[in-house]
Amino acid sequence: MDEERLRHVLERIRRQNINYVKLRGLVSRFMTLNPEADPEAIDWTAVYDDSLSYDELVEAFEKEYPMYRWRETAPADDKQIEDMLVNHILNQVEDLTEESLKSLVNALEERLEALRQAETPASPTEQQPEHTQMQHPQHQPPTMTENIQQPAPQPKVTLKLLASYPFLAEAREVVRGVSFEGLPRAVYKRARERLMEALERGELGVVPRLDEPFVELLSFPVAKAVVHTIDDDWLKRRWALAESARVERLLLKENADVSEWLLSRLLEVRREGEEYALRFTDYLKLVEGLTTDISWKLVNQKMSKGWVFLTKTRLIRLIRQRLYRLLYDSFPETPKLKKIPEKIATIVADITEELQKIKSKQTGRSTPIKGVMPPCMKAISDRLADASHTENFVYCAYLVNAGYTVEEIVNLFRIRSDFREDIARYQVEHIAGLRGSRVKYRPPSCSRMRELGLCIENGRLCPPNIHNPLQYRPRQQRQPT
Amino acid sequence: MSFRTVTDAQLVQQLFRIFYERDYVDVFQPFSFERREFGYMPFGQRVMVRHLSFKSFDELRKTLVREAPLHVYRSAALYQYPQAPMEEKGWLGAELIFDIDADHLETGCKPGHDYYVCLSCGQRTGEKTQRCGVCGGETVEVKMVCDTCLEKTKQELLKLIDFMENDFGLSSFTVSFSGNRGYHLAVEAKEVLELGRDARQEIVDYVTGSHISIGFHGLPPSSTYAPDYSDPGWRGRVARGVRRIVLEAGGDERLGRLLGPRQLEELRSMSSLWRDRPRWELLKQGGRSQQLEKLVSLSVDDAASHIDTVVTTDVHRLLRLADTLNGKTGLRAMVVSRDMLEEFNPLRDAVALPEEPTLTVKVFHSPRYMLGENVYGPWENQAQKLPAYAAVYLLCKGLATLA
Repeated sequence: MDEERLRHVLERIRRQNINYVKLRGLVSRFMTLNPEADPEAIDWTAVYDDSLSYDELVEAFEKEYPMYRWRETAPADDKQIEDMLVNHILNQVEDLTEESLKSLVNALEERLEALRQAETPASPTEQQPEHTQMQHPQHQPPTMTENIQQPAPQPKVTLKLLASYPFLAEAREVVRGVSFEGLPRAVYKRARERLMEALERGELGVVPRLDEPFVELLSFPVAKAVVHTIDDDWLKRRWALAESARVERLLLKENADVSEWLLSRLLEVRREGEEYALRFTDYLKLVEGLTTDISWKLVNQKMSKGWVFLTKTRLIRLIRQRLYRLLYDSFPETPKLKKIPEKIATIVADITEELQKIKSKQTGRSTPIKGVMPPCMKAISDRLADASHTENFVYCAYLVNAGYTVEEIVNLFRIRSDFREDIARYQVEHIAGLRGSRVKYRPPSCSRMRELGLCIENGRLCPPNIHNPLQYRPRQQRQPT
Repeated sequence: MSFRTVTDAQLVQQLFRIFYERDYVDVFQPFSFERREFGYMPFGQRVMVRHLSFKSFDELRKTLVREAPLHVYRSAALYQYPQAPMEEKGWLGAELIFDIDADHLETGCKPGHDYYVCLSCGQRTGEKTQRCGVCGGETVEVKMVCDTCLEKTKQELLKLIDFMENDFGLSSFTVSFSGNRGYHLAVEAKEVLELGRDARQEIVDYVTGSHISIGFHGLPPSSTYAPDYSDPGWRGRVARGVRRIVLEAGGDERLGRLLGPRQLEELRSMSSLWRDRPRWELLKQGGRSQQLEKLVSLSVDDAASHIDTVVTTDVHRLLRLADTLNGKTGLRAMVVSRDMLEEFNPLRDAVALPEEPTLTVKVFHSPRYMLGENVYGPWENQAQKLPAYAAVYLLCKGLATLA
């Protein structure tokens, strides 16, 4: 933008009694969005009203001067999408021979004819051509199944809907024609923000910003491209987690028609009164990783004839799991950027730096909580004076991994009658990986502990589905949501 | 236990071979036959021959006639390359399998037929031992198939089938007698094939009632919801289970151990009130009495199916091939159709070997046992003339040798 010119415009208004900062924003927005237009054609002071908020001011100017662009998404969402799609397709056919072009035209005409025939029974207002094209089933990822029981009615596909749920085939189709270069600055800014939020907030989710749906929609693939470029597994998981948690929060607030349509796009799910039912096999695939909380265990669900019944809130929690996997698993099939645009490279650098900071804090954090001992270890601890050689080893390996120092462990073993400090220290250091093979030993798995007869009450006192004493956490009974 | 002498083993193998030649027709074949791994235990060896695969059933049958193995197994899993080593097999899915075995159940009759006995002085012990603690003589393990145990495993199987049909909505499965002390159930439904280990563990926990928390099933009763007799799944099971316990209050000895005499009396007095609908509000909760909690936990234990939990979660497991002979008994691990199950008596119906030839064997020790239509034993160091199938039974268990 021409800074000189901006200053010149503002100079004239300056003397009047108005908020200069807000107005500067407005003028600069005008100039960015309308590079060909003359900013002096606008009577800035006449429309300006200091009592209005910035957004209301934009609205006021838009009403007064509708011939100019005032928003990034203006003028018509659908029109813009259509233009982008057509442009994209035209770019792709540039290299075709005349022969191929002719057959393409024929194919398109056939398709058009089929569409016209399919359209006749439907209401004409619902059938805008770009919609029909976007919903063509062949563009849907094969993993998504339509609800075969009772197809949910299709809500109107708006830009806001696509921005909220950018994983939808329709949304992917829209952004497929977009190059990662030369996008509006706000898109890169939002992409960076999404990633920072993912890093900071994790399970709390990226905060949705739907006031500028086009920016929201485009920033999704840009952010994903950044993650793909950095290619760090933890980042991929973190990003998938935060984005799927964002969707979870949106879905919880969504109207029933939209949420049900979306649910049916992701899962075969059946509505039964206030509850939703899904096949137990689907439930089991989704619930993996949640069952350490016993409220998610199959045995604690209402089940009949192979269907698991859930409240909407819990079903949406499962949808988040589904989406998490869908996003995380989508990397291998997404081609990486061949040339990384400068704008993206900047974000890559920022996020990599942030990632390094987080990772440096992570190391040294031991998984088990010091001082909270699983029943099996507690049992050995209680009779340490008489514990067998195996028990000593198991206990020591546990302590080493639970964050106890060699010194602390050696001191614990002092109560043994056969205690000899030099030998004990040597053995503890060995188990801690400070000597010999340099391997830090882990305590045996729960199943091995069972075989050794060291498991207490067959794990009944432990959280379900833990595989190693190190995973033990004190049991908390949670109420169903 | 195994055979006493090579001659014993050879004779039994001969009878097994005749069975595979003559009687092994119209038998169970797992679906996707060529995707299965097969294995067998040869007579007189300790190592299983596995990683086999067959293009057709006929190829398998010919192998069984030629080898006449002691035991025959097949994989629950389907593989891309069934013959490859485990890591390279290419797992494509596996049937959901369940094993119910009397070994894992508590039955009161076990001390009467599972023990070690000294062949010199007849001293019995429940502990595993090779030498008699009294005279130092040689001991032998006695582990018989008993109709009480088999009836108990059948009850567990019926509970399992109820879970499969009513809770899981599964109907395509095969039930077979194991040929020894239990039953197998293999679910062939397509939707279960690709379930992984964790998912199968959840199914195991469901069927065994592990980690069930009644709080998620409407108990203690809330104003909006409490389990009713007609409810599906665990809710209905718990409600019906408590109803039965309350109606029979006093008849159940376990209850006497859990509740004091006063509380037992309370239960008896409310028993008629439970007939038509659950009266949860009459049961004391929490505190010292915990009537509700104790009754619910008893009803969960009653309704749970006591399966062998490790079998189900192992997606590479080999399972006895149904309709082949079990080398521990000589009985046929026969498929039992759902309609025949109530009537089915393994000790009568699974006898597959002929009566002829009559064999004279020296029995070292045998408790009383039932087979076919007859009752045999008990015997101690004596020669007996027995129908072939009854002699094979003792030979397989190492309790007799050819005279």
